Amino acid sequence: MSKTIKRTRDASAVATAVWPDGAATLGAAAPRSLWSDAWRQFRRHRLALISLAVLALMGLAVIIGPEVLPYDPERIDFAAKNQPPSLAHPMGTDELGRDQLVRVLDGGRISLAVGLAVVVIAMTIGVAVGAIAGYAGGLADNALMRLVDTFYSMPSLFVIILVVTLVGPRFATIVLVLGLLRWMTMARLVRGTFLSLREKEFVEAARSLGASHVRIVVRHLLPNTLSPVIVAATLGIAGAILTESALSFLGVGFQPPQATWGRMLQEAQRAVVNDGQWWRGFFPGLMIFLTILAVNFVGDGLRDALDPRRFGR
Amino acid sequence: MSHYVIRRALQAIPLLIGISVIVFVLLQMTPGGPLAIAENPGGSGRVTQEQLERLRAKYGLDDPLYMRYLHWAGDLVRGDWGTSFNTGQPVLAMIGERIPATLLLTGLAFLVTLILAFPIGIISAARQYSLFDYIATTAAFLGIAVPSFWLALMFLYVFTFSLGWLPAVGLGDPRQQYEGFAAVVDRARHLIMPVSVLALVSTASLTRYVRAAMLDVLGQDYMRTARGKGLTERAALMRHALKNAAIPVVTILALEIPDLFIGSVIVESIFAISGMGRLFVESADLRDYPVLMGILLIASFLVILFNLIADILYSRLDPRIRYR
Repeated sequence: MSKTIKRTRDASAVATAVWPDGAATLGAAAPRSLWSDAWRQFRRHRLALISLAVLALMGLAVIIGPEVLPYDPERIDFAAKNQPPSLAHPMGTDELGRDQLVRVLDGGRISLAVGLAVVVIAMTIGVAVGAIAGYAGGLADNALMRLVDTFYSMPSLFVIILVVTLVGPRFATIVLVLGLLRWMTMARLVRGTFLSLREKEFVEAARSLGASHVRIVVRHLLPNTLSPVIVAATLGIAGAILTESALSFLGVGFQPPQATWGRMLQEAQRAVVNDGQWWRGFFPGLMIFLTILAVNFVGDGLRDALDPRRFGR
Repeated sequence: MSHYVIRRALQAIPLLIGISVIVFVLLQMTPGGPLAIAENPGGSGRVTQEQLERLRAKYGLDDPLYMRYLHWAGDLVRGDWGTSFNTGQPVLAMIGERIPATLLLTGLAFLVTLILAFPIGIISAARQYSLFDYIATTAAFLGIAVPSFWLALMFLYVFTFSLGWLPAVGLGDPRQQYEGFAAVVDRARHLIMPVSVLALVSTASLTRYVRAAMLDVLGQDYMRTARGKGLTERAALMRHALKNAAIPVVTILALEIPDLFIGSVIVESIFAISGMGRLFVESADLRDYPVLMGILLIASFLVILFNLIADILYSRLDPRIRYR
C-alpha cells in the first residue's frame, strides 16, 4: 500500500529507488550500516521527511509553548471570553476566556505523551509474548496465540471505556489499558519472524557454539524483528492518540480542567453547533488530524526505508 | 467444506469463553455489586452481620470464584443478563430497545461504504498514476487520519449552524408528526450526517484495500493471457480481475462491520442518536455495570461472529484453498 501511494505521488521517486545513485553504486560502494542506509532511504520519501519535521516542531511547541506564552491554560479571564482567532489569541478563546492556543499546546503534551507511552507498553508486551511464543513453539505458542485471538476479539473502545470508568481516568490507567489492548499485532509480527528463523543455520550455529536461549533470542533473533516492530510501533502511536482523543471526547478520558485535544473538542460541541464558534472545535481537531497524518507518513517512510528486500544495494 | 465450517465455528467457542472470563473478572472489580448498600456502614446501617451473611449466601457471594463464574455464565446462556442499576430494567431488554437505531446507522454506513469504495478502488487501480488515482489515494490517506468526532463537529458547523440545511440531533423531529413520505424525508435528513461520518473512515480504508487487491490481480499472468487472447481491457477487468480481487476484499469487508458498530459509539454520542453505543457511554457515566457488561459481550460476540464469517467466506471464494 505504502509503496503504491508513494509511486503515485512521485513517479520519479521510483527511478531513484531502483537505481539509488545512478551508476555510482556499480563501483566500489563503501559499506553502510543498517541505520545510515535506512536514513538514506527515508530521506527520499519527501512527505515522510516533512512529516518528521512537523512532528519535531509539534513536540518542541508542546514542550516550550506553555512556558513561553503569556497565558495559563487554566486561567479564567471573563473579559476575553468567546473571542475568535486574533493576534493576541491565534486560536481564539473559550467561554471562560482561556487562551485556546496555550490549551491546545498543554493538551498536546498529554496526547503525545499518551501516544508514546502506550506504544512503549504495547511493544514491551508484544515483543515478549511474540518472542516466547515463536521461540518456545508447541504448547506455549498455542496458548499465547489463543490469548492473542481473545484480545483481538475484544471491542477495544468498549473495553477501554469500561476499565477507565472502573478504575478512574488517571494518566497511568489510560496508558496502561490502551497498551494492554494494542500489543497483539506486535506479538504476531515477532512470533512470525521467530518461527521462520528458529531453524535457520545461523541460529543452529549459535546454539552449537553453546549460546544460551536468552543469548540466542536477544542477540540473534530479536534484531531481525527490529524493522517491522519499529514500523508497527510508529503506526501504533497514531492509533493510540486517536483512541485517547475519542475517549476524552466521550467524556470518559482525562477530566477537566486538564485540557486534551479530545476533551477540548467535547467542551466545544455546544459552542460550535449552537453559537457557531468554529475555532473552538477546529483547532484541537486539526492538531489530532495533523499528528495522525504525520505519524502515518513517517510510518510509511520507515516501512519503505527498513524493508529488508531493499537493503544491500 | 461444511466440515471446515463446523470446526471453525467450534473454535470460536473457547474465544467466547475467554472473553466471558475477562468480562467476569472485570465485573468482580466493580465497586458495589448487589450488596453495596447493605454493606455500606454509612448507609442505612440497619443490617446486622448475621443478615448480611444470609444475603451473601443467598446471592452465592461466598462460593468459590469458579462457581460464581459458572453461575453467571449459566444465567447469561439462559438469557438472564441482570438488571440495570439505573432503571431496574432487564439488561437484555434495554439493549434490544437501542439496537435498531445502531443497526440502521451501521447498515446504511456499510452500504455507502460499498457503493463508494468499490468503484473508486477499481477505477483507481485500473488507471494507476492517473489524476483520478492520485486524488483518490490522497483522499483515502487523509480519510484514515481524520478523527470522526472532529469531522462530525465540522459538519455540524457547516450544515447545521451556517447553512441550516440539516438537523443536528436524533433520528427524527419529535415536535412534528410526519406521515408517509414526509416521515421518510425527515428520517433521511437526520441520517445524512451521521451516516456520512461513519462511512467516511471505512470508505477510506476499504478503497485502499480494493485498489491494492486490484493492482495485485492486474499484474497476474492470467490477466496478460486474457488481454493476449484479444479481450478488451474492460472485458478482461470485468470477467477476470474483479472476481479474483474480490477474495481478499470480502474478508476485509466482513471485518469492517464490527468496526462500524464500534465506531457508532462516537457518532451516536455526537448526534444524540439513541443507539447501543450511546447507551454504553451513558451507562459508563452512571456506572451502570450490568448494562456495560451486556453491551461489551454483544460487541465481542459480533467481532467473533464476523471473524468467523470472514474466514468461511474466504475458504468458499478461493478454490485454491482446500480445507478438510
